[in-house]
Amino acid sequence: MQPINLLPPYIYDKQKKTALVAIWGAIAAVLLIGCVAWGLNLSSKVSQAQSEKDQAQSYADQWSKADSAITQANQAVADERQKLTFITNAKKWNDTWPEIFEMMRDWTSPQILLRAMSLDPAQHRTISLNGFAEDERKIIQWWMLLRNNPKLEAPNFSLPPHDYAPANAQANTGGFQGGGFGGRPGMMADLGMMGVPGMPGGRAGMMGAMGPMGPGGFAGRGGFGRPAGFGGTSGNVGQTEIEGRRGIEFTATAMLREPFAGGIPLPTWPPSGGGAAGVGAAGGYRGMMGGMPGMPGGMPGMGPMMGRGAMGPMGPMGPGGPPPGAAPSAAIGGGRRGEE
Amino acid sequence: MLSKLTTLQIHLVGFFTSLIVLGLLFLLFVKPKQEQLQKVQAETKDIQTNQHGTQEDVTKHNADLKKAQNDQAKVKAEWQLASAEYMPNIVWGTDVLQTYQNVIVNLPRQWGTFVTSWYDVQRNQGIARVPGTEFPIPSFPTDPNAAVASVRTITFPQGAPWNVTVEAKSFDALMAHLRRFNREMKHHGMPVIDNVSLSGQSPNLIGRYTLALYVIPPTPPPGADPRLGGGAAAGAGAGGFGGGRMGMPGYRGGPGMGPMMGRGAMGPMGPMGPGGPMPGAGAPPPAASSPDPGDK
Repeated sequence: MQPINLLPPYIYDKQKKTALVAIWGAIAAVLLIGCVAWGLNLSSKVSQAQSEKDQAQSYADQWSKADSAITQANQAVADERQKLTFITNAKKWNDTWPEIFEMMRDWTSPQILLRAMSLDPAQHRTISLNGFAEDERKIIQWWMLLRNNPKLEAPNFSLPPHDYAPANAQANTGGFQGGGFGGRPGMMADLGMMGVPGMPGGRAGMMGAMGPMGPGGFAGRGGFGRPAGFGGTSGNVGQTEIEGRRGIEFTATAMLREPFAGGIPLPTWPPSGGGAAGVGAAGGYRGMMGGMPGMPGGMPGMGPMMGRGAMGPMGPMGPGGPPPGAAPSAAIGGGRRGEE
Repeated sequence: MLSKLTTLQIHLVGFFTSLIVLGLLFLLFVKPKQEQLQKVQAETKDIQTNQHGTQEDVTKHNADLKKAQNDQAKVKAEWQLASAEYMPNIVWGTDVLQTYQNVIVNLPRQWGTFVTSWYDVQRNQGIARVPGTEFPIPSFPTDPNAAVASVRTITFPQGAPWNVTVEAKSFDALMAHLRRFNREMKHHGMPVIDNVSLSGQSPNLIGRYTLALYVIPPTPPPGADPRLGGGAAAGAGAGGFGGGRMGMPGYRGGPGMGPMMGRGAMGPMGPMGPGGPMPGAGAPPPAASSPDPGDK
């Protein structure tokens, strides 16, 4: 038999509603507790993050402290470092000169007699040579050799032209191929640089045999500036005679493949930061002074004054002053350029 | 009261009450904390990223510091060596006039004779100065204050370098001579040679070049003495004074002008003035020598 509940449903309404309220109350309580727990969790995360931040700040402070110490350490020796760099560069600069000249000596054919060698004073890049050889073939052979020199590029020789001249004109030129050294091997072999065994007057040294050479000699030609000059090389090219032997005088240039002394500027102290600009300024004065006789006294002083006190390198330009007032030979200070 | 509410109403009330409680709790407790957390985390990240706030960065930087300190010691030691090798130990006095009288006025003569004898002792090594190659050094400014200001660094000769022409017995002798500047020219400043050229032939091989000596004194000279009249004014850059000097033939225009421009550091340039003597002094400079033979 099935039990039958005859009571009306609303009899349980109150009971149901109470339960419902309790359920919602519980839900609200759970939410409350959940939020509080969430908030507490976040608080703990915040405090953890804060401690991380403090730690990071501490590291940042340590880094900053170390950084200032590094800056301080670098600043403390900045002056010494600069001075040391100057000394190092100056030593390198000074040592590069003999290195280059010795390199050229090592690469010079024994059949070539070099009479002058220099580097262009502005860029220190172009080597200018002035020499003598028995015939053009020897020069060409040396040219071919220099072409393979890994330290040089673009070797260039000024050679005499080969035009046709009538027979009587040829007689005037001397027919050097038949005479001269007669193709003596080892023409300059015993020279320190490119010796000349058997050559009259041959002595140990760079260009031993040239001594007696009145016509082509250094003094006779009016100084080094002319033969080794950086302009007008063709004027020095052609047949000549040395110690009664006919040959060809030539000029040549070759560029250094690597910049002089690694490309450092001329070392000066105090360092000339604006070296290039300074030189330009001084150059201007130099030109000016040329046209103003009587001014040289003051002008040399002005060069540096215009640019910078530290402009040591400008000094050399100053002497440019003398030229207007003095004989050309006295213009040395102004640089060899004046002579050339 | 409860009996008056329907089930649906109880659900709605419960739902919205829970929603409000949830919202309030979120807004009051959770959201601020979340924002604070995000802010702290962002700040931490910023410190770590932009201010190197990590242990790794600190360790690396400490290593850099150690390296810099080692480098500092190394540079100091190297400079001391280089200084001891090339630089003279010039002892300045504490008084400007004393320093001027006891030290500065003697420098040109001391350096001039040193360089001359340095060349002359190389005769037995196959190197000889050609006649006319001298090493004149112009005087420092006669104003003690200006003179003292001009010797913080010294270039000999002041202004244009010496033009040197030597005669070598052989190519090797000349190359050895060029190498001697670094190795044997000691305690008188760092020599710098430039524009070297060779010509001629052995045993009369001619070498030409320019030479300058850069002296960095180990200690700075004493400061200007304000009790000295003209000097202080010139050193301070009083223009009128220097200008007047410039105009005077025979007076070293250069030295006057340096200070005139208003900087003590220009002192070293002053010596350029030697150009000045030329017009005024009337002594014609000997050929191929230096800028101011008159001062020699």
